[in-house]
Amino acid sequence: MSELERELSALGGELFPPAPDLASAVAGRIERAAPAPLRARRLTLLAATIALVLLTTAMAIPAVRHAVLGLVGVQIERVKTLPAASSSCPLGGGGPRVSSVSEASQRAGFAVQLPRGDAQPDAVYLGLGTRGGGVTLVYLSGGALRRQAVLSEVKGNLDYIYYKKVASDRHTKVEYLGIRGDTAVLLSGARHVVSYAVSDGRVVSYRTCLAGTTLLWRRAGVLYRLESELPKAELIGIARSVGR
Amino acid sequence: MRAYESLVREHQTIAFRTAYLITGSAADAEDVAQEAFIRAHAALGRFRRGAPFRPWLLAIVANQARNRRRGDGRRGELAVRVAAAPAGEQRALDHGLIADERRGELLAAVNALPEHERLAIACRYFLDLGEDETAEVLACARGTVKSRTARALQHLREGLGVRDV
Repeated sequence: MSELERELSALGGELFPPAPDLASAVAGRIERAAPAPLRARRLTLLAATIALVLLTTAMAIPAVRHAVLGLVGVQIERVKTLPAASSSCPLGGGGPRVSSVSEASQRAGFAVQLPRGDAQPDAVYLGLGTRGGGVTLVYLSGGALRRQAVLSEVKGNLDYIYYKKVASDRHTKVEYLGIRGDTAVLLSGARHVVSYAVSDGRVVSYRTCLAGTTLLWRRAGVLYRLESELPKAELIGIARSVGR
Repeated sequence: MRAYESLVREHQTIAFRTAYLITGSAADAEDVAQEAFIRAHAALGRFRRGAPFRPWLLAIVANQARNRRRGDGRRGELAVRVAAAPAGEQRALDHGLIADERRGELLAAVNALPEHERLAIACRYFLDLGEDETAEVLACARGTVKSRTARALQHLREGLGVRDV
């Protein structure tokens, strides 16, 4: 090996950020996304399509849209069998990445709030699906929140909805909480399925993903969704801190 | 699942770094590496028994990372960037690290290379991959890796005024 090659090799050791521990996250996702037999998958796909149509219909009726656990923009349904999750569920939600929180605020049209005073995310994305209208902040393990966390914020309109499905035969705990006087719901235990639907009379984005422990709350016209395997008390602490 | 978790732990650093090399973002690299391990698990039935796992995994990682990069509309530049040394930090040659000034020159020269040459250099020296594994990551023949690496080294020598011995 030449001197130049030795220098290049030495340089390689300095270029990369520390690698995160992926094993538990990968194992969790695999365990919950075990492929169903083909026939069952086809039936699930059919069921998902039907659910999409039903969801579109439900969202067109204001009374139904509002009757969601007192938490506008969220619908939770207990189902017999979870629908198949998409094989592509990026942490950032699939929307375009932007360079900063201030750019996200500008483009999304509202002031994005950070937790714990000013905990800077490792990445910022627009939209919940493929369109703008919300913002998703990704915190990596070892980042400002110490554990991997995804915080999504959607400003006040009803065009977005988190449509969550909880399998009746699995141990997903659904708790209703009050956080600083706001209604909140915490889903923990077994993973659940979340769909992101955007509607202004038509569904423009629909993705079904597996989700872990998630806290949802609404404050000052903004719907927040925090997904992380942090302990419950820390999740609540983060929720309390957002916007303060 | 425990066995696969062990496999993930064993290969997560190289998977993350490969993804980072192509996406240029730690968040994207973490996401891509996770997806790649999940896809690899789903495709284990097609994995040739007795073949090495790492090159096969890295091909999946690289493919996922390229897709992510294309999806973000980012093209052209290799993600490797010169991270500025923390203020006041003095890196000493006798600790096996190259001095800051030389380091800056070298990285500038690498960043000035055509992308296919930069990637070859990054895989071979920054990731310390063999020619076969580099070929998997770059989706090209082993001979192409050899020729790209040789050309890249020659360009670096010319750019840096190095007379190799």
